[in-house]
Amino acid sequence: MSNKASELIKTIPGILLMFTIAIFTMGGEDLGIPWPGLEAYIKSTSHSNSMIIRVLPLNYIFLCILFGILIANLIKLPNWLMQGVTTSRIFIKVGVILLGSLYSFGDVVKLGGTAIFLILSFVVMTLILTMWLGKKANMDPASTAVLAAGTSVCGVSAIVATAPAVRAKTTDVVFSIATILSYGVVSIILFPVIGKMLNLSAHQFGVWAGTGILSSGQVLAVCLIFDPGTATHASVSLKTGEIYNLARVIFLPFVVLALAVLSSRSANLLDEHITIHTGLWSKFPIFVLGFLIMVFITSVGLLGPVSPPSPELITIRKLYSWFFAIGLTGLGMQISFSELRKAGGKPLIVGSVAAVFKALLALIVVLLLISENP
Amino acid sequence: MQNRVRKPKEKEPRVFSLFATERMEDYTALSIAFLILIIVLMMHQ
Repeated sequence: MSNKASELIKTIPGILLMFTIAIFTMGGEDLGIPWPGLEAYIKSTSHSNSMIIRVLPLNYIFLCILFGILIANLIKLPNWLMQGVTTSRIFIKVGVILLGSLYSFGDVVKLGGTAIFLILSFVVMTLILTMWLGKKANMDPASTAVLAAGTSVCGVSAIVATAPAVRAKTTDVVFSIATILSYGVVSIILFPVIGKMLNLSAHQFGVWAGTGILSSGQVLAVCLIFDPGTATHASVSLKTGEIYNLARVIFLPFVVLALAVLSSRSANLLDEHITIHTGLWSKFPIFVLGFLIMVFITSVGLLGPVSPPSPELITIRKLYSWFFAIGLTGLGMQISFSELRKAGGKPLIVGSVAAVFKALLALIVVLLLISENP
Repeated sequence: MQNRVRKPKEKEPRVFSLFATERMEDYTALSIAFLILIIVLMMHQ
């Protein structure tokens, strides 16, 4: 017990660092701190109407990630800070659960119907494409399987969940994670820029990001960079993108099972060996249930009227913006260029081809089939 | 007796995290979100 308590205490400095960066970029007015935030400061200066602002969406989420990456790569962060930084996923997951307050059951059904169909098609297609490319490139089957999980479902979580089921080596996992994260760094910059250049609506961008980006945190990041929203007018791209993202995440247990069966066949393992690590329920991301409970609570009116939003809903929206800002700062701080250099060779080529194909196809589908409004 | 440091198995993926499993992380996130919800509801009563 005391061990757990001391581990928790050790996370405080890292969390405070992420929180400080979030205040610096987002502003401290919600907390009574007289600082408008770097985003507001840049936009208020006359110089800010330059090309940089028009091309790069320099809002607080982008700045949080940018500062995170710069700090982690220019200064070697000590372990006593990194322990707190690794809690960033908790902040993102709590934010996603609270994000459920944006939806009614009607919204989930309306957005979710198309999302399930589109995501299922893309998951199956990317899985088959990556496995095929891996085979063509003579990659090891276990290495291909973890990479396929990463490109088709939800990035790093999918790789980590699939690795024991397909008996992947640690090097396979490291290569695949580095490939997915390298692609993610490029996506965070390119997706919003391309979205603006093509004049995508916030809803269309949400569909594209939720379908075409590999990792959950990055979907969240690009949606908020494209359309940050406010407490009274929530981000439309985030509302759409997160439904697509969660639809993808819930396929994780099925993909792990499919890959375990496929790789056991190629390795000639007995069926009983497959089930050891592949229980469907054990891989189910249960924080998604929290999101659905939140949708239920909002739908039955426990948090007051949705339009205009009640004070309760405004508080929750402010809170999830903070959670996302802190979590995404930590996500940036965990992107290490020296780690990304580990990506290379066949996994990088196969993963990149599959990911770029998926993003392009998703963009074509959005331009042809998705209307400007939900 | 000489202490032997356990060598990580090659097939064991190691990702540094406060939580032993992703499921524990999910439960923690659910608990924090539930706590926040209660606090928000109490604040606005």
